[in-house]
Amino acid sequence: MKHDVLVIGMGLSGLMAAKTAADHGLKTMVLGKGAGMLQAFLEGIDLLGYYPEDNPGMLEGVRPALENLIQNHPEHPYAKVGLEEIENGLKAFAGLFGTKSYQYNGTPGRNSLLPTGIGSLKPSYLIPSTMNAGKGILSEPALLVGFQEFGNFYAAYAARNFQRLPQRNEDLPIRGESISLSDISERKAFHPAALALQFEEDGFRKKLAEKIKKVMKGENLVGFPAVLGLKNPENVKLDLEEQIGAKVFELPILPPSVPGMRLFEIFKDHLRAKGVRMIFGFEAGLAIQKNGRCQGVILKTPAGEKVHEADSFILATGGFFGGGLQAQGDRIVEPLFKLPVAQPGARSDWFQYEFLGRRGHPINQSGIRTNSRLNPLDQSGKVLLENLFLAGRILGHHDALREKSLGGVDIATGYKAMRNLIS
Amino acid sequence: MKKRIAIADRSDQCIQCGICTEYCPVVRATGRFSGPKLAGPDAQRFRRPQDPPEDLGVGLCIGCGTCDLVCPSGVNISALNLMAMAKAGDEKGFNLRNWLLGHTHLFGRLATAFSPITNWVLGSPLFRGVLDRLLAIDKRRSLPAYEGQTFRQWFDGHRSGGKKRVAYFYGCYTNTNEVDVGVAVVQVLEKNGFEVIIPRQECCGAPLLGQGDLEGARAAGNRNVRALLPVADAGYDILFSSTTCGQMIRCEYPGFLKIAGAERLAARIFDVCEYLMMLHDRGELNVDFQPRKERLPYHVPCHLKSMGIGLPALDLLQLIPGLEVIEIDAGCCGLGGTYGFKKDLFDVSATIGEKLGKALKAFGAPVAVSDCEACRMEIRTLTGLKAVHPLQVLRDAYDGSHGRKSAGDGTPDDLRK
Repeated sequence: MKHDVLVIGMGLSGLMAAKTAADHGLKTMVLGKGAGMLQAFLEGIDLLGYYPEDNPGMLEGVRPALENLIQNHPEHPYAKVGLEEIENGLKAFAGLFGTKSYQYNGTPGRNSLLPTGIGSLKPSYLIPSTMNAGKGILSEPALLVGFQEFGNFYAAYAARNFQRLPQRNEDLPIRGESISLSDISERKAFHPAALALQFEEDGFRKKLAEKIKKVMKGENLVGFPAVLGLKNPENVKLDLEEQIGAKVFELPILPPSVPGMRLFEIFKDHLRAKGVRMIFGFEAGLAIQKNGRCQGVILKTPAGEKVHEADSFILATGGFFGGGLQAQGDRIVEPLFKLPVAQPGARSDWFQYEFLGRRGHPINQSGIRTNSRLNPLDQSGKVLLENLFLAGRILGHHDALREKSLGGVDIATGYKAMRNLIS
Repeated sequence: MKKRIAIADRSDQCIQCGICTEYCPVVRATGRFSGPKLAGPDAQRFRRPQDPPEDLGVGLCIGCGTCDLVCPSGVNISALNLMAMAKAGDEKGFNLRNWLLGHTHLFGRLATAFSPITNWVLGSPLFRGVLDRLLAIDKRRSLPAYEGQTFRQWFDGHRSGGKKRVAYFYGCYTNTNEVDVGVAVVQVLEKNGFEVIIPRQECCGAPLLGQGDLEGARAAGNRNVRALLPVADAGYDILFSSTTCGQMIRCEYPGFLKIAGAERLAARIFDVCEYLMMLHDRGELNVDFQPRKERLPYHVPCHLKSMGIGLPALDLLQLIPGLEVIEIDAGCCGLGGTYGFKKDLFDVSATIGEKLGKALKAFGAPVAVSDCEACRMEIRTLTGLKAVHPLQVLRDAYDGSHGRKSAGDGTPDDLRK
């Protein structure tokens, strides 16, 4: 069965491209090697947290910095997308949530300071609504709740780090408490998703609320690791608030990420309702290329190789984690289409001396060079495949973790790649 | 003590992201299983081939293969777990309960010949109490009833005709417990101009693999490949209607079990819905369907996902005018073939299935559709709904009987009459 569009990659950029295609009525299929990297990393959507790179302070207003970046770095993915389409992409992303009570929120043009599970503040542009109330830790007495059986979050450690923040009055109380769940969990299952499912059970919440009330010392704000439900986190939050009589918020914690899983499910529901077929679990083999066009992609399944054909293709296979880029000893390659990868000149230039240096490591900037339509280019600047469009981390020429653009670049380029494809 | 199982692996590709653990239906249901990552690639790094495995609850793996699908790094997680389970079985020695659950095909002929007696015995509280106490086969789970006539007996009295020819692997359950599925497959293929031939075949070995009996599974595989490969080589495509049998023959024979000739066989063996959709893509499918104004829920079997062929049943049923078939994305049904019959796993199985049960009940249709017989069996248990194979729906759409023919309630035909 031939599709209008085949999206390769099931991370945020691929899903965003698929959503844009499906909303446009295109017959779309998404292939993923695994279930994508949303579940591993994503908490909030970062647009731009630090710029320029030698400026140590985090950005509050994002727009002027974005304008500067677009002007100064024409190869940056944001420059290929443009300010207006970045904003349109974010709007389209927001549209994914419809009338759901669980949303991603933010102040237009400004970063929020998102309190994290290690007791730090991180600039983020859009944050899950269940994390909103966390901003209160700078001005209100707060209790952080962890669980003895759950090692991904240590409440006392986070509380101590929050206490030391320069933005916060040292005398404002903040405490961490570790609560045992063994006697209230029927399943005795304590991995993030298992916990999140139990938070959706009335009985579990009721017993937990009893325990929390016993350790509260009049705090109006209570923080939890981000495991408050998979399907209806807002309902879980509201019910807990009512039961313990305080505002409740979630803190982003170590991976795997429950908010990432929620987002994946929301995308899946949206795409399924639009008739998009998703196949995950299998690696795409070589792409079939002829006369400057891609004709199909070979999917390697245990049942043999299967060719998937389409008119156009989106390559959103990610970077080193996702497998879109591979480091092979002394050079970096793109395995599927064998596209040329812009990369540091020599192996010795991949990393710089300081591990957490402000400039970041050059290897993280490597990726595929594209034209303004996000088609891949060869060394001489000629378009290689006119019906192939790139999105997400594979584009390189940015350092998402360093500049805090993880999520923002994926949404902007996933959206824009599909818009270019359509026009 | 025999020690023959050594484990080859891709555990070093694991980047420790933990996505497999999060999506594992067993981890979500119980803390007794350490999870696919810990029991698989993590433990693997500390195992030497001849060492007995540590008790990480590998026996709790339900074998759905979700871990393999969600892994971003291509680690053979479920295979590592299966190997560890096999190794654990090797160390512990013979287990009569697991042997019986792996060999139900041996009793099929006898059970069918005396089906009224068999079904009475299988349903009797006394017998179930004995199974429960002596063999740890949980009495809360009802055993499937046997039909009075096997599919094979029906087919032998049937004359198939058509210009094209195609072979059919029907599988044990269709043969002895759900004959109408096989009948529907034959009738649909005949509606499309095929003469159906039935090659020599036996149990695919999936129930044995589920007990960690690699040698038994491999032996069954060898015998099936020997019987089926000449049919494939003679130019026949071979179709299956049971997802689990099909996944076993097409994926596990050449992949995990590495059976000689299985790869060549795999190239000619197809899911029956996939095959009909291939016909449709070439414009050769008979689409003379009677309209059916109904919304039906469709449950995707885990082993269908493992094959990576998409959702051909959904594509196919959408060709019936007026019929809306909606994918219910509620994960594993929890039965896991023989898993849910085991007393120590019954609760885990029931917890896993809760989500699907709720989703199907909320959907509100009297009948659900799924390709896999174990999933259908579990849907009936979870919801009391009827559950049918996609080809039963398709067959009924050709003649417009729309469900009046396919009972789908798990009762054998002779009991129903």
